[in-house]
Amino acid sequence: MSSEGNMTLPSDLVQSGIVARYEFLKHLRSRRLLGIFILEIAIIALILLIPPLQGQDYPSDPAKFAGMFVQWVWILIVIGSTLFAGDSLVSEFQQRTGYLLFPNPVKKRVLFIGKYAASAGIMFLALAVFYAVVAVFVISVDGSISGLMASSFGLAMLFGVAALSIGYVISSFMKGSTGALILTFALLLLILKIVDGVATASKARPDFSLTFSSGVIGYIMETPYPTDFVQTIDFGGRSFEFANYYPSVTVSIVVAIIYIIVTVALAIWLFDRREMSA
Amino acid sequence: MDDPIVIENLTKDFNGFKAVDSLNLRVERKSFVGFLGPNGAGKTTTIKILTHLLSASGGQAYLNGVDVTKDPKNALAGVGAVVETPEFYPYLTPIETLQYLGSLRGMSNEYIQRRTKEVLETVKMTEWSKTRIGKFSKGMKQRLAIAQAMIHEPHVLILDEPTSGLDPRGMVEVRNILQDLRKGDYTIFMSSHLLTEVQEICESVALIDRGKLLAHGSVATLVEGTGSKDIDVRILQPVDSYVIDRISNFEGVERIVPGDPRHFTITFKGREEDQARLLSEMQTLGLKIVSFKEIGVALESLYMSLIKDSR
Repeated sequence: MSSEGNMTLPSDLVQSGIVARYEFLKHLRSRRLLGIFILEIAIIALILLIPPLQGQDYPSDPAKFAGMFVQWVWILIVIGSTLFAGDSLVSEFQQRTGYLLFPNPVKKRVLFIGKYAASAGIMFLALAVFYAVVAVFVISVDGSISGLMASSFGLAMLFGVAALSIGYVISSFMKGSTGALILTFALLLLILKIVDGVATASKARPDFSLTFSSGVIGYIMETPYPTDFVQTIDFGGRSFEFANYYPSVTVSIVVAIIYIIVTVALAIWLFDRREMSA
Repeated sequence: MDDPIVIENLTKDFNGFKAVDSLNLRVERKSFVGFLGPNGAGKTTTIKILTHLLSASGGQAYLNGVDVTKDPKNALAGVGAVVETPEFYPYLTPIETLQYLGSLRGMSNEYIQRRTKEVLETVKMTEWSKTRIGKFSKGMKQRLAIAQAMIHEPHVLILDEPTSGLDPRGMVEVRNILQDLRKGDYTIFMSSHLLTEVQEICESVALIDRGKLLAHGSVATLVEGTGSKDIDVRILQPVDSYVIDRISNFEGVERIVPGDPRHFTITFKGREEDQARLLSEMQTLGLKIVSFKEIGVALESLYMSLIKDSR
């Protein structure tokens, strides 16, 4: 039509960047991100209030003090994954926005990558704010921070992305947003934890589990790093042995990467084949 | 392959049910084609395949010479579409939405800004351009849907029941927008349930039932083939039975159904020249004719007879 009408379609990479930008905007304008920030404030406030209420001082070891906060990071990751990934794909079908987006000259896998990148970006923002605020409090109390916080933050991001990937798989096949959100939350917070408990009770190391492996986010703050042990408890004349397993850092990183690769590939495959049939 | 839309042996099988069954259809450049058929005929399925919302079980569907079943990205580059009243992202404004979709199509920022202004004016949404879409009514969303389909000045527009679900005012507004599009360089393929709407807007129609094409051609040619048509006539002065009798005897007039003293409906059989002659003959009777208008029943007759034959 016009000379300007002779447009060249952007590459897949450029298109995924455009999708990521607008998805990121969606998250920034949503109440969900605000909810995460409020939860972070609540967690930090609670942890800061407990020692004074018990008449205790804050730990003088920066790593130990920071560890009190970091052990809550998995909860943030679970809620973040639920809110920023759980319904990201299914909503295009259920809310009918797919009728607007899919007839455009853009591949579905490009849409996926853009959405996924935006979710990872918003997860980074949520975790970065949490760690930054914690770092400010630790410095103000102890005068310094531990370098282990950076390791913990890196691991939190890795497991955050792995948890998002699980959310994306669920979102790629579920029919409704509510079901996808509930399943993502339940799987990451309850179901995998139950599997961890059953495996541990059976004296089998649950290294395969993302929730078990995610323990490294908090354990990395401990010096020395905790090691497995078996606890024996005598009860009614009988002895019971309870295994205590701690994830290895290397194995945990490998497990998280495997989760990311497998679930992202599966989610793209499912999303690519899903049709706007309703 | 010059025709912008070419469908060859297109088939869509839903677990043994053929929603589209070896459909063949060509839409010529700069034509406005109405895609008609009863519920479940395969209209929306065909449109969804053309817009890559569904995959085809067999056959090809070419848009500007590119098979959308094989290379949807390039096939959809020169196409704008409105399918099933899309929903918009409620957190974006119309300007942001058009910016998003324009960017995906490779439009420059300046081009997007200019086109955004133009298309929002066309669909009368300028006033709401900076309001988040979450607050919009269905009619406003439908107008915005048409705007986004036109943002990149496509040669081909594919519209699935664009007035569906709108109130009468919304329908008139969307219909007026579509009428205006006829002035531009567009090839428009539009499904609709509303036969009067199709007869009013479209130059030609494609009739489909059970996934198969029943008829395709210009509205005038197809309607002519049906024989009779109904013409609504309004006269300035009251008419008496003598005048009605005189008109009844004119060539091609099969029946007259009086309404009020200044209004009646003629069932007429004949070509367009015969219809023009009828109007002249009525004027020779001294009638001051206010309105002489086909009321769409002809297309309805064609539709009903073809659907009946196919079942």
